[in-house]
Amino acid sequence: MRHTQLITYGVDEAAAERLTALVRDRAVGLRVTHNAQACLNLMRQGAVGVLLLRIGKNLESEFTLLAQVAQQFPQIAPVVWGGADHPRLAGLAWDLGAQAVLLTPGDHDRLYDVILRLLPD
Amino acid sequence: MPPTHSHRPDDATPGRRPRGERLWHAATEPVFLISGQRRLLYANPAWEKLTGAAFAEARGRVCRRHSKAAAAEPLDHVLSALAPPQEAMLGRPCQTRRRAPDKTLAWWEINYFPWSNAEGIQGILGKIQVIHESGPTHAVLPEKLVQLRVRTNHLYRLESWSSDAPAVSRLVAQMRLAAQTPLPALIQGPPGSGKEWAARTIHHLGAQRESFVAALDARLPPATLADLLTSSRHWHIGTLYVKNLERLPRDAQALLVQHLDNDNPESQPRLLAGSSANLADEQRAGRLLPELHAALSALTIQVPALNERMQDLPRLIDQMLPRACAAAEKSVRGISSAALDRLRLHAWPDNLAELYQVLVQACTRAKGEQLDLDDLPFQLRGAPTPPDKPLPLDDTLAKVERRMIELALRLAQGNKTSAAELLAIWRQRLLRRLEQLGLEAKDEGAV
Repeated sequence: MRHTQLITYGVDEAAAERLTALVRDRAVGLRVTHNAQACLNLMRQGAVGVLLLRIGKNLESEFTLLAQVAQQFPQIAPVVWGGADHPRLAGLAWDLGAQAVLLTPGDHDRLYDVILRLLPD
Repeated sequence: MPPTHSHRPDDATPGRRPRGERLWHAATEPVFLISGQRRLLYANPAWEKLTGAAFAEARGRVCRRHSKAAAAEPLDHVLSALAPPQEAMLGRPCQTRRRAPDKTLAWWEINYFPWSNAEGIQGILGKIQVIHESGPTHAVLPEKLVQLRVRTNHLYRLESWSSDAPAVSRLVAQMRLAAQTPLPALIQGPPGSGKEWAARTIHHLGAQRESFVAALDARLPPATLADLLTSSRHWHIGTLYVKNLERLPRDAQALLVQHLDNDNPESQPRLLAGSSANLADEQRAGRLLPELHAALSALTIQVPALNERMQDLPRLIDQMLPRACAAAEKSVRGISSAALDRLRLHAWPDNLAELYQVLVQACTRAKGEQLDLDDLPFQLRGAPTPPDKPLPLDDTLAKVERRMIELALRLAQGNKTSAAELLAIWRQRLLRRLEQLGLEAKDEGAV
C-alpha cells in the first residue's frame, strides 16, 4: 500500500515538531528515524513522499543512505539538509540523487516550501 | 636455452622480457600486476615515476589497506593505495579512486582487471589514471565519499545502454554526440523511459565528468534554479538537468533563457532538459517560452519507450535486478522463462520506471532464488484475456466511415461538394460511398 509520508533522518525533536505542524493539514504522515535500516524499512513498506536527510554527524553513512534511497526508491524524493555550507558536499549530494540540497542559512528559509512542493499530490 | 612462454624465438633470448611484458613496460600509463594473494608481481617504469618507488623494493610486498598510523614508510602508503577492492578479489573488473599518497590534490583512479581459473583469482592487472582536483583544499571530499561516488556513477556507463534495437542504437549515437559538445540539449521520451539516466550518462561520458551533475525537479522554487545557475558556490556543478521542462514556471524559464544567452557557455553548468510532453503544443498553448524551446531543441535526443526495445527486456531485468533485490532485501538471481514470457506481453505504459517497480514487488514476494509467475504483481500474473467476441474489421471501418460522412454532410449543410472537401476526397468517391452505405444527402450541392 502506498501512502504519502515525510520521513526524516537525523532531525532533532524541535525540528520534527515544526514539521508535524507543516504536514498535519495535508494528510501526510511524519515518520522520524535516526537509524538507516529503520529509514529503509519504511520505504520497503511502500512509503512515497520525501526523505529529509540531515547531514553532518557521519557523512559516510548519511551519503550512503542518500545513494541507496535515490537508486532503490525512486518514489521518495531525498532532500539533504545541513548546517555547514560546503559546496563540494552540496555538489556530491546533488550528484548522488538529492532532489534538493539546503546547506546555507538562506537555503533553510526554503526548507518548508521545498518539502511541500516535492510531496506528491 | 629452451623457449619459455612464447613461440617466437626472440622472446626466448636470455635477459629479454617476454613480448607481453615489453608492451606494459613501454606504456606511458602506470601499470602494475598483483597476485591472487595481493602481492606485487610487476610494475612498469611509468608506475615507478608516478609513485617515486623502485619496483625492486616493492616486489613481493602485499598491497593492503593501511590506516595512516600503521603506514610507516612512503612505500606503505603506495601499497595501501593499490590495494584491490573486494569486487576485484571476487573476480569482477572494477574501478576505485584513492587519494594520491603524496598528499597533493590528486586522486588515483585505478581500474582493476582480475583473471582467474578453476582454482580462483590468479592475478589482477591494475592501471592508474591521475585525476587532478581543482578548488580550495579545505573543501576536498573524504576518500570514502569519493569512492561512493565512483561506485554510484558506475551505473551510468554507456555500456548499460547496449542494445540491438534501432531506437536505442540511435540514442547511443546521440548521447555520444551530446557528450562531445557543451551545447544545451533536449531529452525527449515517454514517462519513465530513462531520460534522467540518459542525462547522467551524457554527463559521465563528457569532459565534465569530474564535476557534479544536478537533476532539478521543475516543482522546486525558482530561487533554487537561480542559485544553481548563478551562484559561484556551485562552480563544480558541470551539468544541470531540468526534469519536466514544460512544468517549469515562467520566471524559471526566463532564467534559463538568460543563462543560455550568455556568450561563454563553457563557464557555466551545461544545460540538459527532459520532457515527455509535445513541446510544440506546450509552446502553442503559451506554457513554454519559444526562445527556450528553440535554444534547447538544436540538439534533441530521443529516448524510446520500453515497447520499442522489448528485445532488451532480459538484459534490462539483469541490470535492474541487483537494485530491486537491495530494495526488497532479498537475494534473487534471475527470472524464469514463464515469468519473462508474461512480462513480454505487457504494454509497459510507464516504461522502465514501471519495470523496476514490478521487479521490486516481485522480489519482495519471491521465495526462491528465481522470480516466477506467482511472484509477479497481480495485474501481470494472469494471461491476457482473449476477446469474448470477434473484432470484425470491415464492419468497424464502415461504421467509422458512415459517421464521418454524416458529420461532414452536417457541417456542409448537405452540400456534397463542400462535404467532399472536408473529407479530403473527390466528390465522385463521396457519391459512390453514399450510395454504397445507403446514405442520402438532403440537398444537392452545386457542382
